[in-house]
Amino acid sequence: MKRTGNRIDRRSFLQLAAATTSGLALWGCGPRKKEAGPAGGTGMRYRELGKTGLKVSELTFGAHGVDNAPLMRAAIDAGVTTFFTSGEYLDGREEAALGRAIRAIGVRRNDLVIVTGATMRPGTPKQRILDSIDRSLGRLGTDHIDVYGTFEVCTPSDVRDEAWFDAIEEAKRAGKVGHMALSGHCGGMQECLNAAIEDGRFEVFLFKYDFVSYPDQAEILRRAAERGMGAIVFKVNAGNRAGEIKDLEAGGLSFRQATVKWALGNPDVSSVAVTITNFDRIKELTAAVGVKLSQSEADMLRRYRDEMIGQYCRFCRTCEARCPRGVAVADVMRYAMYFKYYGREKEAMRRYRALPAGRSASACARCAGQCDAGCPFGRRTRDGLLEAHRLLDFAPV
Amino acid sequence: MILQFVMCAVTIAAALCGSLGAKEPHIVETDLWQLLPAPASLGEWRWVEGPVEYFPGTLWEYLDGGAERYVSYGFRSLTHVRYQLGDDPTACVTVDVFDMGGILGAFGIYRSGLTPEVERRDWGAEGHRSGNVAAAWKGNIYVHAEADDERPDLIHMLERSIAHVCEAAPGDKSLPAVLVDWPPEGLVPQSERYVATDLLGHAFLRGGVLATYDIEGREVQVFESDPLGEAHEALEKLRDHYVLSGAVVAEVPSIGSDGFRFSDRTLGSGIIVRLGCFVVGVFGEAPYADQAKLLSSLADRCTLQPIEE
Repeated sequence: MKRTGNRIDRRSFLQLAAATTSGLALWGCGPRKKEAGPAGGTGMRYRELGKTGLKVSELTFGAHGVDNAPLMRAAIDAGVTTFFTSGEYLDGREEAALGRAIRAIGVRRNDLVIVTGATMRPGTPKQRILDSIDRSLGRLGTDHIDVYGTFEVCTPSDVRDEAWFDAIEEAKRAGKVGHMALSGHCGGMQECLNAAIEDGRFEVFLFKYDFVSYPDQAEILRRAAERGMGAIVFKVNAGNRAGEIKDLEAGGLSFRQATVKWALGNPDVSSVAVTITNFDRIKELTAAVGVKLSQSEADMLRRYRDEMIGQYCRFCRTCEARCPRGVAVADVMRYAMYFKYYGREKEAMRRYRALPAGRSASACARCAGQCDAGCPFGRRTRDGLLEAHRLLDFAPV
Repeated sequence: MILQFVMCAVTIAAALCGSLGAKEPHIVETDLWQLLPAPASLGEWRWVEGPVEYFPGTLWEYLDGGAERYVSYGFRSLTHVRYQLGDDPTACVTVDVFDMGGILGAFGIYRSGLTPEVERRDWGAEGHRSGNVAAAWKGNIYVHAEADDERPDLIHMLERSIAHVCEAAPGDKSLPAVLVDWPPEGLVPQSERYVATDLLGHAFLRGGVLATYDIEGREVQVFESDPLGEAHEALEKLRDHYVLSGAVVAEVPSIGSDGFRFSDRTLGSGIIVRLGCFVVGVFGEAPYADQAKLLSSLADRCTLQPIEE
């Protein structure tokens, strides 16, 4: 595979996309590893979380914005044992709610796997990280956190902060933290994950994994698994824009179920974290566990990918390195988005005109479009820039 | 008396059902970045990130797992900026200004993050600081800020930023109309909440408002929902749910329509009734008689308001 650093060229992307397309069907049919269950008659299944020694339910309760004890109880009744929260969600209220729910339900703490963490930028003092862990423990009402992560990781330097490692090791020695994780979902996540694999100290990855974005994600997962790292993935629904595609779920298909099945079809995924806000969602998603992706579901996901992949710029700036003229691609695309989708034409045009000389897309019509090869999502960047320029340079503001 | 109450509640609720098009006061759209304090006025503070804007289609790129929740509250746009003091990368304050599309959305998202121990501040309609985090709302604007730690310089900037945004934001300090006339007796201050979707974990209830009441030392939750579809169908679904998760103990013919008492493994005991097109209920630790009295009081004020996102 031809690579430039951690990026891939357009041809490689298309090959990966084709492989992923095949995978949509093949993963549903291939052998599954590391599964156990069903247990307790719930239909839930469990997998090992890398080499942590933890077993996690294939569905993880994404507790963001949820402080509903009956709902958590229903999830536990359905066999869900793994809860993913954050000390920052609702300013810590969510962790407190999870702690209250666990106490109210009376479930044994050691029957659950609690995953939490906080955003720790490079340079954060070790003591602040330890204080943050203590606050999480207090809110959760427990003496240990199974997996504690640094969240919102965006650049490789975010995963090379020695104060973080020192703090977690100290927390581990004190029995407060079981294992160390990183979490993120930004445009440059591949580089962060690769850096973390090379570093070797992280034990768990928590990251966005779907059938549309990050074409080399399956390979990253493979290498992480080989190093004994567990993976809990989230945002498997690729932006959750199924409602924008006419009749996508025709014939009784469930887009949500299909995305969970797709993710669990990868044996290097330990669990899929999904935000659960109602009882119906528990039934819908638990019904997807242990069931192979059908051909019609694979076709539905393929259609979604085909219709969505080129629809929007992720503003990741990856393609800007390919531009010989230094066009501010991400900014131009963002202004075009304001113009087209948010009814803010004047503001968009004003911002476009305020770009420094040479950073606008005015010269793109005379360019061969090297940026096309720089989009990790296979988007035809030059076409988008030409359209943006037509919109934004239409008339003086 | 009971008959009078029922007639009154049904009449008012029916009238309100027909006025669901009524909205909270319209708030003039604002360029959110203009609400932020400009670096030129901040001495050694400067922007090191942003202003970056996010919209419903891109918010997931910024909020790790939280985008869907904000969108459900009516989120329209976010402007994110990070201020840094001098050259110290660990001395920063992040400010996020959200346009929540309406008063109810801004109030709802603010109250959803409110904990009892916060320090109140006179910012906007409501504001608070809790350690290195602060938040406030006014009109359709919700602002949330976080300092890297609690050094005095950072906290000063944190508070200054929020105050500036609230001063510059359009709108007044009114609470959402839906909450104005709830019975004040026993109402726990600042306990009212607006939940945008899946009230009590039920998708068919859509959203609703909740409040906590203290009845002689025992807490109960009261809720009002303007459900998706017909209210009597929602009542039936709730009845089915509590049959499975606990028990439906008895019918409650004296309040509204289709009412029943239930017990639940986690919520305790409660009452749910239909008042016109609304589903209204109470649950918690207090005895049935006290719960019924509170529910009657809520309906007796004849003030049920339509819930509009």
